[in-house]
Order: sequence, then C-alpha cells, then structure tokens
Amino acid sequence: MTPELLVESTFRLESAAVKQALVKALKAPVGTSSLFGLMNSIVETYSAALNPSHVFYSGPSLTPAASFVAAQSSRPMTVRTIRHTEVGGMIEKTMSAAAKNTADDAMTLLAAHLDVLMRQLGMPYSGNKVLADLLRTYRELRDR
Amino acid sequence: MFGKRNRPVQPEPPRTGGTTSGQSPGGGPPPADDMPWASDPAAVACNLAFGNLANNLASWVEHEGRVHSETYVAVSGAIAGYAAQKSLMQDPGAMLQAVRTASGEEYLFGDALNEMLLARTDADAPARVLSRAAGAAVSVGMPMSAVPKLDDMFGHVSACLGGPMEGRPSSGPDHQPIVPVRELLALYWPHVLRVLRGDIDDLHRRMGLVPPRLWRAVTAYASARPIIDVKEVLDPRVALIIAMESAIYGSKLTRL
Repeated sequence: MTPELLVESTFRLESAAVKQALVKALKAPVGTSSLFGLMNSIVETYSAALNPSHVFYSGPSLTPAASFVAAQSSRPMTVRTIRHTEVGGMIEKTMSAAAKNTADDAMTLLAAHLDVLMRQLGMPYSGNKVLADLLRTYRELRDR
Repeated sequence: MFGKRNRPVQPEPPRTGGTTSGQSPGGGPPPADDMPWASDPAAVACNLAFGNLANNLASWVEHEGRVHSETYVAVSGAIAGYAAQKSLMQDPGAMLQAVRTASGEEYLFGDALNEMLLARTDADAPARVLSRAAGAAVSVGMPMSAVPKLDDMFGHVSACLGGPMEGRPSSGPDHQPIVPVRELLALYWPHVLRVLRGDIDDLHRRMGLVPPRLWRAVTAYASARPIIDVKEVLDPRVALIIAMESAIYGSKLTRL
C-alpha cells in the first residue's frame, strides 16, 4: 500500500489539499526513515503474526478420523507469538518522531492505518483498540 | 434438568471501529470496547493468551496443508465451553448437578453452568461464548433473524449424550468435525493450557498466567475468530451452530 492509497482509502477526504498534506507527512523523512515506512513496518509485523496463509475447506473431511488423530497427537504444536515489544517499540518511535517533525496527529494516522489492516484481515477490532492494547502491553513488558 | 433458557442469544455487535479520535492509547479512561479483563491485574497475561490462542488455533488444526472448517470451529467452541466450566469451578458456591448416563459417564448440568455461556446483560456479552460467536456470525452476513434457538441447541446436546451422536453438532452429515468434540478437546486442551498458563517462553512466563476465573472470558473472546476465518467456505449460521453446540457439550464434560 502506498501513502496515497492509504490516505485515499482511510480518510475519505474531500479536500485535495488536505490529502496532499497527509501524503506529504507520511512521506516526510523521520531520521533515516519516513513516517509511512515506520507505520508500514508496524502493519507488516502485525499482519505477519495475524495472517498466516491457511487453506480452509468445508464439507466432508478429506482426512480419515484415525489419520487425523494420529497425526495431531504426534506433531509438535508450536505457539507463534505476536512480537508485542517490537510492534510497541515501533509505535512509540513513530509517535515520538511524528510529534517532533511531521504529522499533527500521528495517533490518528496510526489508528487509521491499523483500521485498514484489521478490515483486510477481517478482524472485528478498531485501530484505536489495537493501538491501545499494543501500547499497553508494550509498556508493561518494557517496565518489568 | 437441562436448564431453562428463556432469553435468545445476544449477539455482541462486531467491532469494526472506524473512530479514530478521542481515545488516547495508554492514557485516559478505558475505551468502551475494551476487553472484559481490561481492568484486571492479569490483563497483559490475558491479552497475550487471547492473541496466542486466536492466532494459533488454525495452525494447530491444520492437517496436510488444509484446515477443515467444521473441525476448526468445533474446537474453538469446545475450548470455550470447557474453559467456562473450569472458571465456574473457581466459585465454591456454584450449584451444579452431575448426571450419570447408563454407560456410567457423568455430565454436568445446571443454570450456573449455562450462565457461563450465555449473556444476561450487555455487560456480560464480551465474556460469553454464545454472544461472541453469534456476533461473529452476524458480522459476516448472518441475519439476526437466523440466530438459532437456544433450546434447540441445548436440547440436541442433551438428547445425544450417551448415544452415537454424542459430541456431534446438529449441522447435518456434511458438516461434522472430523472426530467428536471430546476427542478434539483431548487433543488440543493441553496446548490451550500452555497458552493460558503462559508456558510458552521466558517472556510469557514473566507476564504470568491467566487466572482460571478468566479462562472463560479469554477463550470466549477467541471463539469469534474461526467463524470469521471460514466465512468464505462455511455458512455462518452452520458455523454458529457447530461452535455453540460444541461449547455446550464441552461445558458438560467431567473428563477428557
């Protein structure tokens, strides 16, 4: 997703000038990166954890029950975890940089970006909620 | 004996968000759509467990590169029902009846058990499997008028105990989990316990475990995801019936 598409798909703004300003803010350099780059990293990290590529099917099972049970009993069940610290760290870095240099409302941009991601993933959560949970978890982890 | 259920399922509205102003992450009052354990000291452990359960269950059920939707949904519902019973057991005053079938198998019944699955108030809804599952089904296209009747689902589960259809939902022969729900729980519950206890890595162990009184809420919250995941291949009403009846059955089991 490009900054232009993000702004277009998320904010539904009438004003071309405001759209351009937001795109400019997203593209503006922040240290060695850009606000958009940082936010995209957040989304990619979160998406990778949430969106494994499963093939779902329904109807009669393609696997005999005994084979299924035997296979499931013998294989390791790993737990893939969301990297809260990494995501939270990126969010804080983005917010901090944005507050100093670029967007007026980095929180709104981040939440909107995560709204788009949640819709893409079919997840029933708002960007604000995801952001709040990630930040809270991140701070708990960091402060322990 | 099987409990009276006079209220319909109360689907929890899907949280599609869209509001991007006002709430300050990390500060201010908790948002209205916060998770049911948000104010609990174990909130971070619950957040982690919820995320880990919701994000990993499909991978656990996957076999030969595919996920059988009916099995995936049944496992999720059964976990929520069984966990709800375990949470109820934390209350020493909980009134439960143990009913023994002709085969000698014991099952649990009682209004207190049913109330661990059903929301009586809006405030209850986020922590009850039936509200979460129904909310998910509605969010992916099931009309509110199509929400199955509770008495039909409870009645099916109870009527099948001790018979060949035990642990099988009323979703018809083409929409059955690969194996009955008790076998599914026996396969996956030990891994759910690892998640609830944070027994994954050092980081999770430092965050602590989910108290058993909150197992119901965490697993109920996770039960919405499978219904949404399989929406392209499984009718949400069928998925809802499978999830709910698996939860009801799971809540009654005294052994795996």
